[in-house]
Amino acid sequence: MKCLKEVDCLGSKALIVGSGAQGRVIAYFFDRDEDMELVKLTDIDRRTLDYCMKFYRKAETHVVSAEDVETLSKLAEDVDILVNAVPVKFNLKLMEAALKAGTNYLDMAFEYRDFEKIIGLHEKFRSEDLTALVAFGVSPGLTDVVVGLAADELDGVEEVRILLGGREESDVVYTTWSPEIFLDDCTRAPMVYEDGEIKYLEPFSEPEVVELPGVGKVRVYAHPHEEVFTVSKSVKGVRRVIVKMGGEEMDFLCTLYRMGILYKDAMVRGRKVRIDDVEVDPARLILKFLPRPITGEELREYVERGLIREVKGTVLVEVKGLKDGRRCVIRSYSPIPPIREIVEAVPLANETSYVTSLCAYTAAKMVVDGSIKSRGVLFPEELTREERLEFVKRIGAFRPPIKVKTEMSMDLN
Amino acid sequence: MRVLVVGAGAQGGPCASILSRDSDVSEIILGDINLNLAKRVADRIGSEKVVPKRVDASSLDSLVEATKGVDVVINLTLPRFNLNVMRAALKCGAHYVDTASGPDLDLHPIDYMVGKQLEMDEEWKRAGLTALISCGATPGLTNVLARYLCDELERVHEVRFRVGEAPVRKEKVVKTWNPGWSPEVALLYRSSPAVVFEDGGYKRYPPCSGVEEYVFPEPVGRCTLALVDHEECVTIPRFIGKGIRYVDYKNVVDEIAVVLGNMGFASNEPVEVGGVKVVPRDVLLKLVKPPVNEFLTESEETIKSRPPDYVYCTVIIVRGEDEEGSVEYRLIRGPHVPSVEERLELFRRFGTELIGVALPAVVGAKMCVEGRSESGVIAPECLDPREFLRRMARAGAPVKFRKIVIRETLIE
Repeated sequence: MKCLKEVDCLGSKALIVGSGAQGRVIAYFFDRDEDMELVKLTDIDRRTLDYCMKFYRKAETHVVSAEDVETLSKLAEDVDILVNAVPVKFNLKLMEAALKAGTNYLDMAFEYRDFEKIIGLHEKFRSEDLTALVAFGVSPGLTDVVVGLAADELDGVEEVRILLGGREESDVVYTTWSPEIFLDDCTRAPMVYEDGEIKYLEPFSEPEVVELPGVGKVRVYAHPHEEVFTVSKSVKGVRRVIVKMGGEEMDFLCTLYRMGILYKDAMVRGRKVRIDDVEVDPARLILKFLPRPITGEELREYVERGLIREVKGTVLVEVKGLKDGRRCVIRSYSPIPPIREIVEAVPLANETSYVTSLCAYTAAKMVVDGSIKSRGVLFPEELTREERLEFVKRIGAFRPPIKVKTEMSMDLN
Repeated sequence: MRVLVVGAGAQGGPCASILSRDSDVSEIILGDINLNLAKRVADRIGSEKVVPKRVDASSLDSLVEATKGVDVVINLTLPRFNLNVMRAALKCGAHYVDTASGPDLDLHPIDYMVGKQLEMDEEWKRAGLTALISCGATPGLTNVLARYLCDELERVHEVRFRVGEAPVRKEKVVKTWNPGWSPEVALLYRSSPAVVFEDGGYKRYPPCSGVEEYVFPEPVGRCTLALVDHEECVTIPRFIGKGIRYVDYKNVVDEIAVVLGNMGFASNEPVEVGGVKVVPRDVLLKLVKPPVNEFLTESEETIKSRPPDYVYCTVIIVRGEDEEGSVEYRLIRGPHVPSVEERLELFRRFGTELIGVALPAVVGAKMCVEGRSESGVIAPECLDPREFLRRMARAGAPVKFRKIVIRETLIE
């Protein structure tokens, strides 16, 4: 029962696999969407699902492992889209489940080594008249959409830089990321697309201080991110693509890295240091010290008590190229909405999951209601210009909105 | 004059070098637990007066054996050994000088000085000997300068120390943690409670309290300062008296040390990691590169090629009363980036340019030996400040500062 007409999509259904930080918020958006008849939310852990259910009106839950293609494809048979909100190692399995069930698919990140395999599924999805949106959160996701929109304006794109950073005004030390994933991300080799190939750098390479609109000066470092793969594949002729990320935690981890306490591939490799008669992995000690992520409810409480006053964060996309023979830079940025508005709007969300999940939900909804007509395995920049503009329009109309501002500067002579 | 220098590290080397060029000094025993290091330092100094010796500062016997027959012991080990070195000196009839009282392990100046070192005052008085504690750069010269200002006043209400610093060259985009001295002490400074003398008593504040922005003369400029556990706050109220009600000390926040401390890396409490128990501080110190002993590699060439990393400025503010009424004195020392010529001149005179801590210790030691100090356990503010500063100048390192007098004035 596919809904392909733009206006009539009442009675639609969505399956959200994984009820972690993103899945529970995406499910919340669908739950509150009047067009939706049903939201199915799965997780491997019953308690997590029970906790989330307190916040929903029409969701149903299923305890399923993300590896269980059989059960998931059955659950996906009557839905309009399967949204993958589990760790990236499950992506190929879930894409398989979607194909098997004949339903559309969306995820928010991917394992870099699976890139070619993912692209390889394009024909399968297209021949089934299905859409698989890959890496469609905020970054990657919105960033790619914005790169695509900027590229439309230019005659040729030379360089794409995506800069992410933030700063909190807070009395409590908190995080919105799982410390393991954050430490893993930060210690893996970041990549850059250059001279026609993806090259790998040392962790925390190419540091620079950048001015992020609404945030201020932030020290950013090369960071492993999907856009290096997707933009270099989709934007023809681009010569350099890099993603850089910064913030206080990054600065601190960088210091630990340079001090030799943290090391490359720390979460996958492990290293022992002998202290007297015991051996210890210093990265595990750091992990022990990193704060655990807070729940949406805790965040709301801290915001209401004034302990967390302001959370500033922005995604800045810089696209350099030529227009009418002139050098041109398009800078687009999307600040995080005020934290107070986020916690009031979605009780399960934090600032990271709000923006990521809102983008994922919006794109998924556009597939469900037929506003996205492109078929096959697609990265966000590969949508049509109309689809991309509609996406940006929708996230900007949401409460609280993700606004995208764009400035273009051009050399006149 | 025979001197025992205990510790051949970053301060012991320069100290022995300065002494070796002093005609009043006939012999310098340079003691270290690492005899090889003491030998390398002695070779680098290249004076027959310097005699390397294996000395274990944790062993009273070892110290006593080395102290026999010397006039003064200059202790440049870690504060945890202060009491041992003091006891050996007292036993052998030698004067004693050190340059710090903590923080070290779980020792803090407030407990260590007042509770242990100053408690020995009577014994030292009876022996007619001087134990001069905390006589380096800061504490040390700062105490002398504070006394110099306090001498202008009849009553002293408060003494405030403000120490700023700035990198000489533009900093790299990414810093690593290089405290410039013992990482352990740097970490402890920023995770130890700070002592402030307030309303006639010592009060402890949490680490990094009392944050203030202070504008120093350029090129140091604006700095973020915080209270720190420093010896001046302990001894100044005790020895200067004059009704002092308040003493504090603030210096530049080492942000990385603070975050390391806040995270838990300064903790002495074992935590369980992957099934074993470890002390976080031990793991950190195991992995941080120890400071380089610059003295060993110092030469005219390195002075020409290695500009100083940081420029400092010290401001001492003393408020009180003199015969004309309320008055505030400010003493501003620095900031001054020495030229290569100035640094070479120091090197040629002392055999090292690293005299900041060692030279005040030597000046203090000589004043003790020459009877220019009272007996007992004293701090640098007990010495005649003008005599001390004259001796610094005579040695070849004059202490230059600006003195500002602020007096509320009303002409009726």
